[in-house]
Amino acid sequence: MRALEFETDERLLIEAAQRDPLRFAELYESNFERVYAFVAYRVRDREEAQDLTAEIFHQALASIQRFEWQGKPFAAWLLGIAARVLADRWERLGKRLEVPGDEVEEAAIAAVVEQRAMLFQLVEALPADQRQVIIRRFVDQRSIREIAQELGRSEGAVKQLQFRALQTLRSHMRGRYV
Amino acid sequence: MFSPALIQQLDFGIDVLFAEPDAAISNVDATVAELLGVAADLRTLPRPDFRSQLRVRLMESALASSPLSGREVMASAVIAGRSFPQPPANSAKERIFPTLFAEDASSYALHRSNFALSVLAHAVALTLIITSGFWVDQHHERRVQTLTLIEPPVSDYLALDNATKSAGGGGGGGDHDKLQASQGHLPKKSLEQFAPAEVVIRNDHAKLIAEATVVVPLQVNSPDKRLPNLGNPRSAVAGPPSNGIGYGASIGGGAGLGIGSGIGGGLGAGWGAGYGGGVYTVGGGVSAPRAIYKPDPEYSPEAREAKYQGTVVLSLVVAPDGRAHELRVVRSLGMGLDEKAIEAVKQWRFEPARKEGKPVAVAIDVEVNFRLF
Repeated sequence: MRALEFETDERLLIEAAQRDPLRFAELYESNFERVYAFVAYRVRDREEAQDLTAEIFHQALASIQRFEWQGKPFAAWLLGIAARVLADRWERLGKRLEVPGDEVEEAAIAAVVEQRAMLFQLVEALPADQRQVIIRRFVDQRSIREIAQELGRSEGAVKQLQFRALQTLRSHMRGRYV
Repeated sequence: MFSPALIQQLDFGIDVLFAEPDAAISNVDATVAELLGVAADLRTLPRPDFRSQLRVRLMESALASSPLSGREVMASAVIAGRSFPQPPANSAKERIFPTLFAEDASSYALHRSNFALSVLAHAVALTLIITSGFWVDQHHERRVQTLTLIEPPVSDYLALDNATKSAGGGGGGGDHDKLQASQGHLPKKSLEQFAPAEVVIRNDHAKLIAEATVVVPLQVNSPDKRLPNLGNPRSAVAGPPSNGIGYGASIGGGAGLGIGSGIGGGLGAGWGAGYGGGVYTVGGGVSAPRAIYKPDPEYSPEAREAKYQGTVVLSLVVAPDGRAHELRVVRSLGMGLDEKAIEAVKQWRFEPARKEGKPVAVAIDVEVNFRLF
């Protein structure tokens, strides 16, 4: 029942975006983490993942008029575009895109992508001080000492915040997946 | 509470993740291992502003291809619950008054009435600002004092020694003696008189003896011929001792309790207190005094409450030292304002009136206006 409602809502959103591209914003918001996580899993580089994600969404916006509802989630259509963009990128670089060997492997990869998408969303929900430490540590790649100086706190306090933030993320992930 | 060892272990493991992304971390606590797994996934966490920046770029692209008008774009944005960049203006009027014409896209709903309400609110605010100034000015308690010199009759004012005509002050007395009052010195000068002076004492058995005085301002330097007995200094009769042909009491040919040919308790040929020639009045060679220090009088609480206004006229003598003496209410207002006027004028300081270049005492009237603005 819930899935049916989701499908109906998503279909209405897609139809609205087809009438007015500005309504694409809602589709973007609900699929950003998934697409980004899909790309980041494969390229393993933040800057490159961001560039590719931007390209994927621009392509999706440009081709939203050609989308035909076939009962599949909109995310699947987006990930299809993502796969093509990645393949083009690899081709330009002279590399080959590693494709899953079988359905089991494909499902495992999809689970990991979903998990990371969830993780990226959960970071946004962390308490401000914990989020600050996570952003500085993992995005800016600052040392504990540097973060302590920036935040005006002791190194021990920053380490504790880091520990607590990761524990919070882990417990929320468990809660979502159990 | 977390173990410091675990916290340290986790931090060390994260450092290893950054240094060697593919390295396997072993020999760590199970909890730390789980957290390191989360940390490994966070290495590709997008920059916090990337998501919003990409959304803005996408919306700019969407805006360029949107078939909707500005108003429809706005409505669409409201439905989507997002803030979108504004579309380019379609006409000059939209660029100048986008709110007035309500054709532009923004992050809030546009209505023509907003412009009118804004103009109205500004007009009301401006009116309040302007009128408040007037209101404060009109309701501010303002105390205005004016020094008004009542023009006196022009006459000659001469010192006692040279007086040939009657002047402002004077006195007279006598006890119907057959002889003119004898010459002598004045009794003690005082502004209040308990007993008149007598050269010939008629009552030898007075039950209450008081020092004889003459009502003359203390600052007035009267002629003193250093005569041994009491008497009228202006008398041409050296003796025998006589209280004079006048009536009342004291010494002289006038009436009253003073000394001289005048009437009253003073000295000389004039009327009332003072001495022959008395206190000067302005004119006839006597300059007007000028107030140089005029502290404001206070409004009495009851008069302020009743919003009572008016003018108190005080009569006073400005002495040569510039101080006000003998204050007397000529025109009363009541409600405590007379007292307030006297209280204030007592503190006033004058540049004294002058006659032939010398400071002299002069009688003036002063108007003290009480107004509530």
